[in-house]
Amino acid sequence: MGGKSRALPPTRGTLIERLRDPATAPAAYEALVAAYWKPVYAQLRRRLGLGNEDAKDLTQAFFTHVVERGSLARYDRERARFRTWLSRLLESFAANEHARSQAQKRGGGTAHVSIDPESADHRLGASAPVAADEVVESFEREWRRALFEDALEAFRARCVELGKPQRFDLLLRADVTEVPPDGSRPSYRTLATEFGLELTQVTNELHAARRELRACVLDALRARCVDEDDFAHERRALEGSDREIER
Amino acid sequence: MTLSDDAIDRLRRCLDGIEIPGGRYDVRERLGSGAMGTVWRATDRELGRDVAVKVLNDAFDMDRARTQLEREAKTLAGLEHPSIPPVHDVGRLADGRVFYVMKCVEGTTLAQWVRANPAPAERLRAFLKACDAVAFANERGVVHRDLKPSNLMLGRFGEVLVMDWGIATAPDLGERESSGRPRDDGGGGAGTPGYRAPEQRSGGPISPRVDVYALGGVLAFLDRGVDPVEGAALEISDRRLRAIVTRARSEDPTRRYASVAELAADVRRLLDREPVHAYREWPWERVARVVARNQFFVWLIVGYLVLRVCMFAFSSSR
Ligand SMILES: Nc1ncnc2c1ncn2[C@@H]1O[C@H](COP(=O)(O)OP(=O)(O)O)[C@@H](O)[C@H]1O
Ligand SMILES: [Mg+2]
Repeated sequence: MGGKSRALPPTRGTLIERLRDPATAPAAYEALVAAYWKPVYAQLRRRLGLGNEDAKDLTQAFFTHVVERGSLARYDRERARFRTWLSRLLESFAANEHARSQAQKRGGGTAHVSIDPESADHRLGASAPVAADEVVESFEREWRRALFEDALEAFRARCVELGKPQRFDLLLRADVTEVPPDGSRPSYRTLATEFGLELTQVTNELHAARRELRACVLDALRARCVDEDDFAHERRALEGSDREIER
Repeated sequence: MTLSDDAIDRLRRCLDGIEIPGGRYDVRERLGSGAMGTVWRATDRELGRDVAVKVLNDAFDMDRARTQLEREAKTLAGLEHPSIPPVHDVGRLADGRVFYVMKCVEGTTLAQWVRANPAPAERLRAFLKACDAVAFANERGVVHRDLKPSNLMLGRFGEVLVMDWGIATAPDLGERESSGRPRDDGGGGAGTPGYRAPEQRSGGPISPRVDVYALGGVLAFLDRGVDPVEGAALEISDRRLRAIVTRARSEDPTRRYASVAELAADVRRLLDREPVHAYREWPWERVARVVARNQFFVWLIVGYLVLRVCMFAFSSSR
């Protein structure tokens, strides 16, 4: 897991409220960056074909942009999920960056394109047109990947703290590590042999592991959500929206 | 470590399901999910029967969610009525969330039932059973606040059950709308758009007339099979029924039926073809209604008259 994992202390108030309150804004900003750094970085790298360092700089610039240009003040929860809103903002930011670097290549000075987060017709140059849905989706994939990576990292720390590092390894082997294309996932019996445990121990440990991972995922999710409503949606999306939900 | 999409999918699956410590309950399938909770079927090993286990979904603020579910269980426990599911047990899941165990209703929600196209009179009778339970709760100071077809179930024996007392007001609290998590996407007070009363939207005082309003919506749903829309005209062809729904769904609470019992009484009149209080009928409508109600006697009289005419014709032709 690249980068350091930042365990977030439980905080009062929603992320948005804390970002808007000058007293809590610095810590909230840290939390926002910690939660969204990875997907923003991955998205910028992918969309603009940047190297590691450039992408890092631009990621930093994006977060500064979000806070300093007062974009957050314009976030309206009635109109979009926070994640979707942020990915649209990111898309227009990327489009703007792209236009500027093109202008520089052509020898012009710094072209100034105003960034309008609500405008959907910012495109990353004629060669790479993307549907708005695709942008939101690919951001969501990276966002989800980062969520689970952070959760796993927190889970690892918890296992170490409990003096049960094996629990983490067991989960890793059972659910995470890839198996060869023709192989199947290790059975509980295989795991018992591999780890030198009784079958019941494997069952119990994996049970506990999944329960604790679940708590870690939800903590990581809370850190990414701006309020109760946002959280409810994200949780439902995470569980899989293939279920009939009463309205 | 970078996780593959497959690994993420596998981990996502770990999030599902609930685990009840103690070994008494064996969790089976998901019975349904709402805005706040999920209900699972479980087998009670000690008594050898199926039960329903309600768990609140993970919330942003878990403390609040916990108190809310405990409160729901207590509200239910205080309402013993054949149309309100009995609570058997409360406890904590392995992950710390609160759950409660209730009777498992083998049946469908009214929302699903209407798709099977039951006869109009049957729909009204089911509605009246729901009204009985709500009136019973209202008399005890409990206002449900979230009545809608998906919170009403029809059991195997034709019984109707009023479910989901999650945001019901406890007696004697004189609450205003604001407590309780909003359980909808549209923002603004608790309840569900189409069924929640205007005073729920605006944070006004909560009274049983909130339930009268919502039940008016249920009645409209039962007639048409579609959710009523806030502020939109009703497309109900039966004038008496439309008048009842309109009165129940008045914007001004004081113009609604004063209680659920009064609403039910008017629906019963409609079912019995008696004059409905919400509707002033024209003289010919009255004749038609009386004729329809007394069909047997009307046919008897018609038969008698036909017989007399025949006899007259027979005797005069001789
Ligand atoms: N006792 C029960 N037996 C069977 N199914 C139930 C029971 N309680 C709830 N359900 C099903 O679960 C769904 C959600 O339950 P509900 O209590 O309404 O949750 P929420 O508070 O989230 O709306 C219901 O619409 C119904 O289909
Ligand atoms: Mg419900």
